[in-house]
Amino acid sequence: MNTVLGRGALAARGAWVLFVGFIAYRLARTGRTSRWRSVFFVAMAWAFVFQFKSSGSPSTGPRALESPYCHIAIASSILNQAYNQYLAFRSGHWPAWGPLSLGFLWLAVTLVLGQAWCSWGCFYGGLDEGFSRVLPKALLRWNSLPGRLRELPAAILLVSILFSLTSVLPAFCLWACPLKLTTAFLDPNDLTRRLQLGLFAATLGGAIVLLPLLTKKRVFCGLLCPFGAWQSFWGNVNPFRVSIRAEACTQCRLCVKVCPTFAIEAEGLKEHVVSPYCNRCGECIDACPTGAMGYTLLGDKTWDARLLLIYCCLVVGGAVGGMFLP
Amino acid sequence: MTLLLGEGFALGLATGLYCLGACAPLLAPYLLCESEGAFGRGARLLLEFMAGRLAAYLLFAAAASKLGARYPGLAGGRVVAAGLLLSGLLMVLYAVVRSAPRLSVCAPWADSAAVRRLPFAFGFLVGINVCPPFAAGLLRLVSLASPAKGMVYFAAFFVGTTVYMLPFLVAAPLSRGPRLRSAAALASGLAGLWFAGLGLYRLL
Repeated sequence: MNTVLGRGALAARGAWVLFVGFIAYRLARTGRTSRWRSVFFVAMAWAFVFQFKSSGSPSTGPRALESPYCHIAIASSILNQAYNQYLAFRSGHWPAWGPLSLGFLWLAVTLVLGQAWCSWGCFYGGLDEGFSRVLPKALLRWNSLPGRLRELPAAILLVSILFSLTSVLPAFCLWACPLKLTTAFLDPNDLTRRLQLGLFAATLGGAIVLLPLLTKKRVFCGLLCPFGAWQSFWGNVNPFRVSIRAEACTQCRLCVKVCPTFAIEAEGLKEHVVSPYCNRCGECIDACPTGAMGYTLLGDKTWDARLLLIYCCLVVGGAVGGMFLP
Repeated sequence: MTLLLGEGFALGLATGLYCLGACAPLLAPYLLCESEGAFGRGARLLLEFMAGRLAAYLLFAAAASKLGARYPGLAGGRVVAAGLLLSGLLMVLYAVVRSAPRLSVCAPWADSAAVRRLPFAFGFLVGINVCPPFAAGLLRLVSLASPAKGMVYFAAFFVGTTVYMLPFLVAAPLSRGPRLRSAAALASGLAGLWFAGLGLYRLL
């Protein structure tokens, strides 16, 4: 393998390191989390889009070796991988390793970031985050979900796993992936394909662009993403939490209003509980007028874990973002 | 007769994975939602589902043996598509009742006998869905031309395919938490929409 980098590639890597360093500085200097996290997160997402779309087909294009694995596909086809080593698309050198190496990578990321992956490392999440920040105020008020809809991502995950296993096809990728709009199809150009295209367009246009723009909520991440649901089940193996100090909380519900993924509900707030879907984005912590919310380790409210979380997130997120450099 | 039993069992055993494909999206969410974390309750629901499947198989076997030669289009026609559509709609209704039990429309149904009998209905409706192994069995039935022999053959086929359903018992202990039960109810609705769409597509 040729490991010597050209001058341009070296410059790009240097610029990325400086950018991540600048974000770290601003996060430490301002004491606020979400704004500068968002800059980093959105930049990474768009770097991914440009790299991915310019590299041709993810399995056969000239940049196939550098294309990352799609973690959404991994979560929704997990039994397929165990059953027949099926992967949604092949890239890099992972095919030689298969699910074992992917499982190890997932475990490492989950131990270090847990659910924070969804706001600091996921190269799709920055897209709806970006659109949710375009307008200064929400044009459409949408603060909470009907209680039973909270588990919709888990339901989508469950259905994707079952249909993927029984059809031996990646069900989520074939029917709901918002980024598949222009890539290859398995089916001929018939009604099935047109239906798939319609669903892709609806997911992209509705859940990633339009609704985030109008509501300032990350609709795809909060309501549809099967990997977010997957991480919500496993995220507790990671020690970082967003905790609410009961004695300081005035129940003003500002956190419910600003949470971009519907992870804080009015009912839960009464008990000072944040749902497992919390992405550790920091939006609620920045908004809380009494400082009742904060990052903790395993809920221990005597010690502020903010800087430790930021360090872990920028190390992992910086490494992930580094994959999308020219 | 022994040969017929062996033949049906072998066909079921060899092709049962297809049956798993037809049943899993419907059965797994239902068991996750209704087992309440109890293995025994999960096993009872699975048995009810299997009883529905067996009833469908035997009915189809008898009908196909009697009428198959005269009406060869019986198995693959509108009956099957309508069954798929109906099972999908039932699942959607079930999901609505389970996900929003306090809605005035849903309240009378939430603990009704109709909802409790759903596993049998699901099993029956899935049972009449003609998948490739089922169709292969039906062709054999037409050649047998005897309802009694057909029922024996399909009973053995049922036992062969049932082996693949046993892993569903694992779903029951998994469903202790309210989160998974809530997700499973919604998943029933999503899978139901899929089945209903597929049934409608085939009907049209």
